[in-house]
Amino acid sequence: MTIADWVRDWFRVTDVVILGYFVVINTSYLFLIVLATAEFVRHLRHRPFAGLDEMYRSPLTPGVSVLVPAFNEESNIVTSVQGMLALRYPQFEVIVVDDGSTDGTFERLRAEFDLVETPRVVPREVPAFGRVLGVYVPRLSPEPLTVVRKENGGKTDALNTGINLARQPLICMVDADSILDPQALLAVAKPFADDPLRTVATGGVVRVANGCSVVAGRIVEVRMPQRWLVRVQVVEYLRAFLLGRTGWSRLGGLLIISGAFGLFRRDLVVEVGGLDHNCIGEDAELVVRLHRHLRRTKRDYRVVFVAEPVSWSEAPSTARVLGWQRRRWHRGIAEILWKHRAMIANPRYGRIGLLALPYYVVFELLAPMVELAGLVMVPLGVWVGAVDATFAIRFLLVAYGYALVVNLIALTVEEFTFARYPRWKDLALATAASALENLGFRQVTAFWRAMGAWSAIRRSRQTWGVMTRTGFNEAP
Amino acid sequence: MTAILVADDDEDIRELVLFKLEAAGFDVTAVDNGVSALEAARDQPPDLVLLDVMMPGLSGIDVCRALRAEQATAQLPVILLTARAQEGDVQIGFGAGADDYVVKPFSPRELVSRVEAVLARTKA
Amino acid sequence: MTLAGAAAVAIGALLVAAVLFGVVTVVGRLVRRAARNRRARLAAPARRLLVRLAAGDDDETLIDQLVAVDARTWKAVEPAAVAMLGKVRGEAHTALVEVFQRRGAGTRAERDLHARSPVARARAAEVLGNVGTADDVPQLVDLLHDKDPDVRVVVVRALGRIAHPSAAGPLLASTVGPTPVPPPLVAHALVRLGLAAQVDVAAALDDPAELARATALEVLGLIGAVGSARQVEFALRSDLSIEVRLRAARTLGRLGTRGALAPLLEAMEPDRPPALRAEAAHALGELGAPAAAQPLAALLTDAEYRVAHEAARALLRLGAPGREALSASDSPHAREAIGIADLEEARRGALAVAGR
Repeated sequence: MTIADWVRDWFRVTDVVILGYFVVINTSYLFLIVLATAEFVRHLRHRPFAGLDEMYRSPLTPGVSVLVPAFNEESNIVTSVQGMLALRYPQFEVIVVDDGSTDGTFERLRAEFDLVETPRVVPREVPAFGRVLGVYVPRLSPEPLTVVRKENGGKTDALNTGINLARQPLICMVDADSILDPQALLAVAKPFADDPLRTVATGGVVRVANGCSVVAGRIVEVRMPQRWLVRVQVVEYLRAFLLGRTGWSRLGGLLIISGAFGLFRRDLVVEVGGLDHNCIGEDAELVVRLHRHLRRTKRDYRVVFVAEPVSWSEAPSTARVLGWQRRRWHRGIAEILWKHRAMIANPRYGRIGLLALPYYVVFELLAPMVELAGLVMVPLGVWVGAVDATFAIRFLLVAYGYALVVNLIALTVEEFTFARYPRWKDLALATAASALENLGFRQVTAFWRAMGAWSAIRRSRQTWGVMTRTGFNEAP
Repeated sequence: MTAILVADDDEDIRELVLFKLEAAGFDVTAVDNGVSALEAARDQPPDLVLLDVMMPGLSGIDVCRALRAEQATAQLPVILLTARAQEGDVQIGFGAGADDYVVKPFSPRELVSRVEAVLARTKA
Repeated sequence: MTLAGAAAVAIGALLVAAVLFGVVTVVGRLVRRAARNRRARLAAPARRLLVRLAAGDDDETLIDQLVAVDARTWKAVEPAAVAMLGKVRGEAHTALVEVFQRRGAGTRAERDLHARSPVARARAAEVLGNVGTADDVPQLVDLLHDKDPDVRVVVVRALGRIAHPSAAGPLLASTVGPTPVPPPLVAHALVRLGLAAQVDVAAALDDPAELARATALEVLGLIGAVGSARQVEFALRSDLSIEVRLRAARTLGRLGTRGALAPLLEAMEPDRPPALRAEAAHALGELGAPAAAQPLAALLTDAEYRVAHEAARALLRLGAPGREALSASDSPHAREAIGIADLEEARRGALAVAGR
């Protein structure tokens, strides 16, 4: 066999493997979508007797401490906090942790809520390094708001400080720019109320806030965003957060609860030592650590994903910030998988070890690499003559076509379940965005994600990231 | 005729209260959010305001406080309507300056009695 | 078939799938919207009748009119009617229930309690919770052992809404066994049963199951069953389970009887578990007995955060002796409590100034 033959065979095999990978990953999405749909149907059928009203009235509904870590959030912090204080829940407190902001974040809060300093003993149940400079509460109004100023220490440090100060049995970690649906806390706390002995953590659906009208911290009208970059992200969120997570939750293998909205039992979070300062995906890492700890101690537990839209986040609207975000996310995944590598394919950890984690390694961590490899190998293969051009084109069409169909199915499921985008124009935009995702967006994000994994390997210094806040209402 | 302003984001409750109060002989204006309630109260001060506590944007408590803070509306009788009746909530409600506090589910007939009682009390 | 051929077939299939799902989405939206509009139009007149009935309109024919509404219209307006049930009470509520009953909702629900599908059973239980009477209690009680946990939860809530005391015993028993129900839900239902259930709940204080005893204690405190105070004191002193003793302490605070002082003080002693000591401190605050001021003051410098914290908060509620003890202490917890007291005073003051 000549070298040329060998090269040709090599390309042929690699290309088939890559194609196979695309087929398998999209089929897994399909499978998760089927599971998620079953879960939505179940959820919607149960809604008439879900008893949220009773939960609201019961004196025994567990209280929630909402933790809001904030760094330079002056443009939105006041409306955000107002929205959170208006949540429909019987017993809760909002703790804003100002992590050494250099802008007017604290000043805006102080002015709006007439904050005064109050002496407070801060317990040290989980490690938090930044020194607490002061604890503030509203002077005259008895709103359950506490604002903590501390030295800058990063998001994890801010959250851990919040955990220390939290007084309620459940802690809800939200992003400072999250807009929560008024029933959000009731919806995500319901599994705790219905199954208090086993439920340890719950998460809800996170959606894209860009383009929606927001009044006083509440979404008033849901619309698709103006920019194509963000429109594609809407579809992405639908597919990944809504369907992926719901599907996994039904399988009992929910690995990641979005940091933008997660509810945890405080005592267990303290038991496992709070959030990890060394991990950039600290919220997801906490969930994996909980799984590990609870399975090791052989406790019966559940991590539940609540199939209701509960939280809205501002998605990056520029390529620069998006790149930052994707690099950070992927680096987080890499770090978490590395940190907990002992769990992978380990039967001791049940479905998490045998199913969820290996899946994440092969189909989440390695996905961008395979995708990039495909982009390089297939044209190369054609050039070398190993793969004929027609096949290469068909190959690409199948790979991306399958992804497009998965997106469209996600839109269909959304239409038959929550249907949050009422305008026809928005449906058309979403469909177009589903196609557009494959024409450049995925490839570029694959590149960023691969860079993220690479930086995890290189262990470069972390930055929480400065996302320039553009505020919510984009110009119509 | 005595004018009453009702603010509640729940359509059922709005219609119900509107019907009942009109049947009892009052002149009723109904709005579905706090901001409109404040505006309406400022433009044409009614004789009594009925506020739902849990409304998007400006809550009933916020509206009550805002009314109390302004000269023109500081003496306006306010009744709060809410599903929340835990101790702290009642405290917050009266603390914001409300004259009465009605818990949902409520009896429409009782609501009318309370409205009449508060009106009588504040006119005296 | 070659790989290229397979690829071609796949592309064709994907194209079909894409169009298919697109069409399903669009058609789905059109159909559902049309149906929704039709339902709303159909329901509109009935809904007006409903509002008038819920508002307590004196018109005696209203109930008859609503009962006479045809099945399709009723189906359209039923969700609004059910929602209305949750919003009113008194005569309006009774009138609405009558409409449901005369339309056979109760009988249908009783039959569906034995349906094969758990969703149907749960829905039936929910309906009975809304419109059921004491006669429905025995059947619902049977369903407390339904094999589907969601059905059990709905049944517990329904029994709470019907609020007939005969459900008390079975509710407590449902916290344990092969098909248990979460204790807080049972407790809430029992609280709705109120003092009428006191005897049954107090009887559960001797139950061998820890969860049943704990739930019973929680309920006794919430319904204010002062008559059971002695038994609660006994549970605090001598129950073997820490969970039960915690609840007992909490309940004694809520009941507020004089005999609670001694056992609560005892529960604060240094050799007791910290969770119990903290709970006892909190309860002493609720009790409000000035005699507790000194023992609580001693705890201000306790090594356990929660104990010191609760002691400081409790002292705030003991009037002058409490404030003195706090001012005399240099514990940071005392300072925190004084800060809170000052804030609350300022808030009360501001209100007085505002003239209401």
